[in-house]
Amino acid sequence: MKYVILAIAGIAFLYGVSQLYSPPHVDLGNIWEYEGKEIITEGKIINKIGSMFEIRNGNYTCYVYSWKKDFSYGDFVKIRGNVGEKNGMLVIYANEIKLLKKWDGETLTLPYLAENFIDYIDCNVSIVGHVYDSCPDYFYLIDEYNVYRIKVYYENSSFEKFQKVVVKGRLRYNSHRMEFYIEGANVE
Amino acid sequence: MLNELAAIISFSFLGFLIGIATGLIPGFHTNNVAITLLSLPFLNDLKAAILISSAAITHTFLDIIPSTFIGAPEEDTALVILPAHSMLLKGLGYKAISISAQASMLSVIASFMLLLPFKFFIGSPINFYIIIQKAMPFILIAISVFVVATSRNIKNAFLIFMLAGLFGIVISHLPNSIFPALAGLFGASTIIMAKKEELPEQKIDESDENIEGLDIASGVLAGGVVAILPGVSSAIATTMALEARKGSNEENAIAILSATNTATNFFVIATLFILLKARSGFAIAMQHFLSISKWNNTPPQPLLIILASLLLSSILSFYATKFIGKIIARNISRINYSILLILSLAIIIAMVTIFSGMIGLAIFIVATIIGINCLKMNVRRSNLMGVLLIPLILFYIRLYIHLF
Repeated sequence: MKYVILAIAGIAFLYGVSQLYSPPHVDLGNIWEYEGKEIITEGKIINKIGSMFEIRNGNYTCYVYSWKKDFSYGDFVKIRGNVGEKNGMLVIYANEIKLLKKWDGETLTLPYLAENFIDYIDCNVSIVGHVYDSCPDYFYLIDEYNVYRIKVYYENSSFEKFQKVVVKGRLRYNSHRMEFYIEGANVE
Repeated sequence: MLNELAAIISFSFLGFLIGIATGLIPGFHTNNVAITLLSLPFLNDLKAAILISSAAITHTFLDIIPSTFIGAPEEDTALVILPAHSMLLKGLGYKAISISAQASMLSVIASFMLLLPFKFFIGSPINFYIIIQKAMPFILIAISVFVVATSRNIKNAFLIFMLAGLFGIVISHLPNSIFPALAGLFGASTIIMAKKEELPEQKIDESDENIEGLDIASGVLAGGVVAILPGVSSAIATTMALEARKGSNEENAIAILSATNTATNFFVIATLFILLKARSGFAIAMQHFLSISKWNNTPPQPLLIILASLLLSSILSFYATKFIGKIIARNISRINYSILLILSLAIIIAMVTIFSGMIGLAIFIVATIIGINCLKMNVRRSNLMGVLLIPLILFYIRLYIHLF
């Protein structure tokens, strides 16, 4: 019995050590080296399907399985989880997810978004601009010099021309029309 | 053409030499070497893949030697320690090694013969691995129940199994934890609890070594299953194979375990080309060096070359294992057994510290205590495999919920 108690005490000690230990911080592009192991990685949420969501960091994307679902497109998260496989693809089974940066923490200008669209495609964005060409289901948002513009889908849009607004919605790309647009927008 | 042939043979030989080193040094795995090789700029393409695969197959031949003589286990030799060490105490240490070498060689031959059926079963359209993957949590639970329920004292066996499982869950969050855990559970505990007796002179007798075909078949089958399933290690395969051949004696057990280890690495390489999936660290490294083309109708040329180099390395490894084993067996009885035990323990502690650091040492100490518990309670040591089985069952249950 003495040895059983000693073993349990040892396991409890190791549990304490495991709480202090942090797994390696791995870039999304290198997770293939860690299959079956626990890692920490970061990325922006670009897709959500049931208990799974997709994150992107730079040119790399990965699916993450998590019980926690209260995240939005564009949220930048830190994930601690095990690298595994599903349908021939590497996925992360998340043990812990922390929100590092909420998507609406910064408001972008249209020129900035146009130059950095790769970082924001499929993410929620908050953009400041001016209303141009307002129609019942959508309007065009332009920058102050009317150099850049983007279509914003927004029901019952009744804005005055050149009215300054902040649009919050998901940046999408229509590959057939080869155009960017904002969907599910809220306008303030 | 001749130059290419010479390069293939040289890299097979170099891999064979690396495999000897990794096999003989406890805790030093081919995966460590493979990851190191990734950083060497002059290694590329097929030559690197030949080198890594040769080292991986050679390792499975040679790792019986430290397991037998100093009781230092790795993931794939944890369960072989007891029968091998027991034979050592009867003066049959060399016989244990010789049986292991033969079983590994026969396993390579059997794996070659089963390569086409293996491809047929796991590849499209049967996709047997998906069926097994679905059934895996239930298979693992069945094995666990079987391991515990067939023990003499079920209550104690259950306690040890759960203790090992809890330990396994906790250490799964810690780095490089497998080697210190198995070294403590199976190696150090045996050494500490060993009776301080004289080590008999080792007999160098190669007659009367009968290896049953069923032992090789169960080993190769278990190795094939491990190679296609993520997360299932050869230690689990050996548990499966041993439980399937329950009632076998020490020699059977060594043959089964050795056949399983070698077949696992063989089929890991085949799986890389059939499913394009890397199931081991060395396969990941091969994938990095080589642009793997899928085996559809005819086997891709790189696979054929790698298989030829595997055959060459296996033949060399067979003789090397017997040769090195013979030298050690002839000389080991000259060392006082108590000194040998202390020396073995010191080597294991040194290797744990080198490869896993202070956290590894803490894991090793707790594992040793659990291993001593197992011996004091007279519980069969396969119950200690809870350390791998319970975390894996939890992993597969989680996967199952997401997949199906």
